[in-house]
Amino acid sequence: MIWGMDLWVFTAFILIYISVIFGIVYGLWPQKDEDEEEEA
Amino acid sequence: MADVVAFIVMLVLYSAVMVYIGYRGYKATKNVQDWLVAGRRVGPLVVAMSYGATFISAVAIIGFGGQAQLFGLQLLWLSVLNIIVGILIAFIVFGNRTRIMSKTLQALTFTELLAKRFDSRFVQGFGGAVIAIFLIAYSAAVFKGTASLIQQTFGTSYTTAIVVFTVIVAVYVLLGGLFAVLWTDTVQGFIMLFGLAILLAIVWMQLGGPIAANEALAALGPAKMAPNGLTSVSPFGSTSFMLVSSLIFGVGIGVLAQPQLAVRFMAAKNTRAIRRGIPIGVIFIFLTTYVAFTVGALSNVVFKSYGVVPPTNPDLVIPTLINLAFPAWFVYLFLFALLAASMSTASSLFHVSGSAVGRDIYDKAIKKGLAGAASITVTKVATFVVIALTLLLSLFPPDAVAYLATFSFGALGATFIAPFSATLYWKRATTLGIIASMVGGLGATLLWYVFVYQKTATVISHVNVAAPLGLLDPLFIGIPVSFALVIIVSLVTKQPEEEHIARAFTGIS
Repeated sequence: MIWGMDLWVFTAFILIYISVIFGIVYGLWPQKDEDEEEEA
Repeated sequence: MADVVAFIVMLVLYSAVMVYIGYRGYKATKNVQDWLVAGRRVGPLVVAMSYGATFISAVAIIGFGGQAQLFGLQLLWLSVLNIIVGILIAFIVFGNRTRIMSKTLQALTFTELLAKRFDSRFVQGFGGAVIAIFLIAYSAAVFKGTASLIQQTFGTSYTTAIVVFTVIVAVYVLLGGLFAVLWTDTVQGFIMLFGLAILLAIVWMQLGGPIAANEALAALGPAKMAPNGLTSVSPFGSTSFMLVSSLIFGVGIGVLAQPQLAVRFMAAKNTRAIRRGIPIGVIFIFLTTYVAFTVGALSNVVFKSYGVVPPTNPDLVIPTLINLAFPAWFVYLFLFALLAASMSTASSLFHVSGSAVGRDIYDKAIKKGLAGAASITVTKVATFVVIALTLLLSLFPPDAVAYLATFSFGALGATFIAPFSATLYWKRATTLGIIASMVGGLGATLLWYVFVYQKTATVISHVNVAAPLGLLDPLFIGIPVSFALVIIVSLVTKQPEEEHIARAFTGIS
């Protein structure tokens, strides 16, 4: 048991946090301006 | 009494804000493109919040919270899929391509995108009919659930609750089209987040913090649907494992290609709006699903500490918990959050069903395209008819509506996931392949519901197929059939014209 959860539930718990962090970083990561390219 | 008065005052204020947003939407709506895709000028906050608020209905919070009481924390796997599939894959894989292609092809509804990509009126008419039939039934179910909740809390009549609820939503949807739907969703999304965050905070405080709460839950030992305990995954292959994994994958994957969600991508103003929406989307879905499932599971500990037996109906678990262990002010605050969750889902369902009837079926499939003002009038009238029909169906629900609502998620997923993927990614897909995929995927799913899936087959056709087959979610059948059909039929039919494909994929690298 890790923090009261078995390994599989704990894995889900960790995956939730990893996906949220990934989503935040991916969304905020500076990008080349695709919109300007599209407009062009 | 003071709480009831405060609630009524807040409800009046809230309704006024919603109607004001509807009015602003009315002023901003100049043509059919504004009404259907909000002029394609929506930014990241509104795209993501409205997506999340539509995705998560009160039924999801109450219904799945109740399921978490039975299955325990293993339902967190659904939260994983909701975030990865429902946001990350939906936004990253489908989002921007949907936006670019719908703009290039000047498609104003989800099925119009498929229809223009494959140059087929049948695709638009059939897709529109599927959306109308299943989403109107689903809307009626959402209404019924919300009205029952209001009835239980206030003792008002079911009819009054449902009529008041419908009138508020109808006014702002009919006034402001998608502008109103998106902006009211955003406000409602914040109300949902506020209510749910406080819910989890209070439960954790009552149980001595998250780790102590989990340990207390684990100490309760095995439960019927959680044989290894409420903080553990069920043994592989057991009935509860089959039930929970079928539920998790069915709901988790079915969210892709839901027309009411995909239309948000079509309304986004640029690539940046979708990309910047991802952080907001993941945080929203995390806060709503993680809270609902965690609180649902932890309710077992709270019920035990009060010496109360949990309700046998899972839908009553969260309402009973709130009434039992929370202060009166929170009962009303939470009701508000649920009202917001229901309205945000219902308004989007009205809008997308109205568009399906008015634009897809009448305007495009039957009339072969109306011009200018007639087009927007038809869609508005159709939306009004859809709302009136939903109200009638929720006041006098025939049995068939309950079944159609149950089928809706699976039916839409199996009809649209494969064709939608092929539309955006597979240049070799043909019109016949898409038609076969839509009809075959839907047919296979409905047959599975009627003759195999235990929950529905035992009631509809009185067939009882044993586990594990009888527990398999119809989406596991419908989606593979749909993908197989689009691939096989496309490969044996004539290749689409290169010129049309080049145009459809303009701007997509």
